[in-house]
Amino acid sequence: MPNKESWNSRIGVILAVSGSAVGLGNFLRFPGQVAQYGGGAFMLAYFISFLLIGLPICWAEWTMGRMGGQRGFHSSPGIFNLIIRRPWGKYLGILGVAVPLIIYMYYVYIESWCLGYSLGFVRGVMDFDTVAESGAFWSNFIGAGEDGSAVGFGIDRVGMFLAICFALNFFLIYRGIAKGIELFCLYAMPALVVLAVIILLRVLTLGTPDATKPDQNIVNGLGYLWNPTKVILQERTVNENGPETWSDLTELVGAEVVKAGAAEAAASPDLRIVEKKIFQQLKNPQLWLAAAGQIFFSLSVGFGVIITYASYLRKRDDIVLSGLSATSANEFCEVSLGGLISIPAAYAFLGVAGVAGMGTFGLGFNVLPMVFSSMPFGNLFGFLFFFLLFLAAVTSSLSMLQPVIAFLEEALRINRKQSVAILGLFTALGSGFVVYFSKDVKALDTLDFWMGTFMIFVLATTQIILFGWVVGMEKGWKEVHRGASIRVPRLFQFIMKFITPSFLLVIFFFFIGYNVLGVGQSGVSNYVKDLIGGEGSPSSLVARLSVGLILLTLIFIGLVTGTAAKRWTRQLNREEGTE
Amino acid sequence: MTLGGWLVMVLSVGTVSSLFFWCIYRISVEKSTGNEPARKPDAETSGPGHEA
Repeated sequence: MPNKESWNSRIGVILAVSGSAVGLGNFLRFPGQVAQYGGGAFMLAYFISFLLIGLPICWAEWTMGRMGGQRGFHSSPGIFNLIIRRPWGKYLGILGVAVPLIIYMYYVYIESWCLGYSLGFVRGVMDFDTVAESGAFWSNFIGAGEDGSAVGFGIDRVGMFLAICFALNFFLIYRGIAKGIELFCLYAMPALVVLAVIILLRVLTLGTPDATKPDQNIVNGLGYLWNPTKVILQERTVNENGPETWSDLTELVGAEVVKAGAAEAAASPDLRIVEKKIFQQLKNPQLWLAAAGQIFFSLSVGFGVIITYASYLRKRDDIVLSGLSATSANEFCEVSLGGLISIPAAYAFLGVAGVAGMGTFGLGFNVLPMVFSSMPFGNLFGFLFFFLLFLAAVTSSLSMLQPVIAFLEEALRINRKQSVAILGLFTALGSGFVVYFSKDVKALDTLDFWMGTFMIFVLATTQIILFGWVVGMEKGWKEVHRGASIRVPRLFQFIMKFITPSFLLVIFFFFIGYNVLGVGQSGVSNYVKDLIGGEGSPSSLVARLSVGLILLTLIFIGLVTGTAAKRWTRQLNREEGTE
Repeated sequence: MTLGGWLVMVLSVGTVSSLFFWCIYRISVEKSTGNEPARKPDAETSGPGHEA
């Protein structure tokens, strides 16, 4: 059965897949994680995760996607149904539709922040003296202070920008794979790299922005990010009738700062300096969890996107080199560009105190706007940086829509116009929910945890087990290499069948332990407390409604899958002459 | 920034950049030698969603 659509060029599909992967995480989340977990140790765990999780799942998704596409299936439920051939098989695939759909609902909201900020720099209204000022602007812009306050179309509100992002995404997705997604990525991805290089050159030539604070400079900013040994100043706390404890005060970066810290510690019995070396840091399970998680989110594996994109390939299209190229493009953007921009720039202006412990949003939308507004030609570079984030976000959000479009067309036998209309309505309701319940970004945060983190582990584990154990390594290996110009080392047969699933299950085990059950904390995690309540912490209605939205989406996709199942099976039997 | 920091940065950035530029080189070599398969633009044909 011929494909309904296909990519126009090999470079087009590579740029589309890498565009799906390159997003805010490359420029904001990754550097924050490297700095938090100590450059060398984190990078070691990161590269191991890349080899054991990222590349194997990526190749598995490309392969299963192309296999499905050859039989006319482009959605995860359809492809899973083809591979598993059991009545329950197709239902495993509903996560491959639900994950990108739910993530889109809040991701487009963040995308609109990037657009709003980039235009804010053009208008010259992003002039902040302190992080508190820029934080207040962000809170007002996205409505973090009160539910419903983000709704509106004024220039200082997110609503208008959200509408523009929605319109752009749906215009491109309506144009289809080649004329919409591919064409946009062909221009957006190179533009994104050029913008990142320009900003990087600006950041690396910042030197010491404030001569009165010579330690706050770019070299020390890079050291804060990449130094493998962390030097920490700790303070002693003496508990009543209990053992004394030492807690971290600050990290010391730069020879002069370390020397001053050592002198301070020598003068006080309640202070001390400790060095955390690379192998000591590697013993921390949280570091491995963070590195593996970063690989997941960064490469878009387990999102249900690559499998759909790959289903529009032709039978003998090379997926080994294309897959490697797309992942390497993402890694280049993440490590070589993203890893050198945001943290060093923020450090040069604010020092350790200004960047330590800042999450993705804090760094991106509170710290960096203030940093850009403080540097020469700040409005220009602020605009370029947030426009770069906007481009990265659009190429990612587009990729989240396509799996759902493919599913609706396949399951309901409708055309592109109808599927776009249904998806537009559904995502408008979902995004409306996220934007309305904007207080403390509660709805966004809850959806991101349960769908954008938890379910991704589940889907990725399902995919690699499916490839290694259901498709089987012998057949899978042949499929991987059909039309390939380079060969995957044989060692990966063993890795894909045994190591990747085991590694994923171990990481998932730790994830549930630390982030759901709250091991090492005072109780279960806040995400669970929000749902069931707890001592002194009532449940959150918004969190419950968010999980309700996830369940409704899963039920809807499950029902639609059920209605299409008989037809899919009949079609497969007819093609194979068993009916 | 310590010597270790410089080493980690150069190795990390160097590794991913080398891989990226090697991939670009391989693809451009295949394109210039004509090994890349010819492609056609979008064509609206049948699929499971358009079954008669």
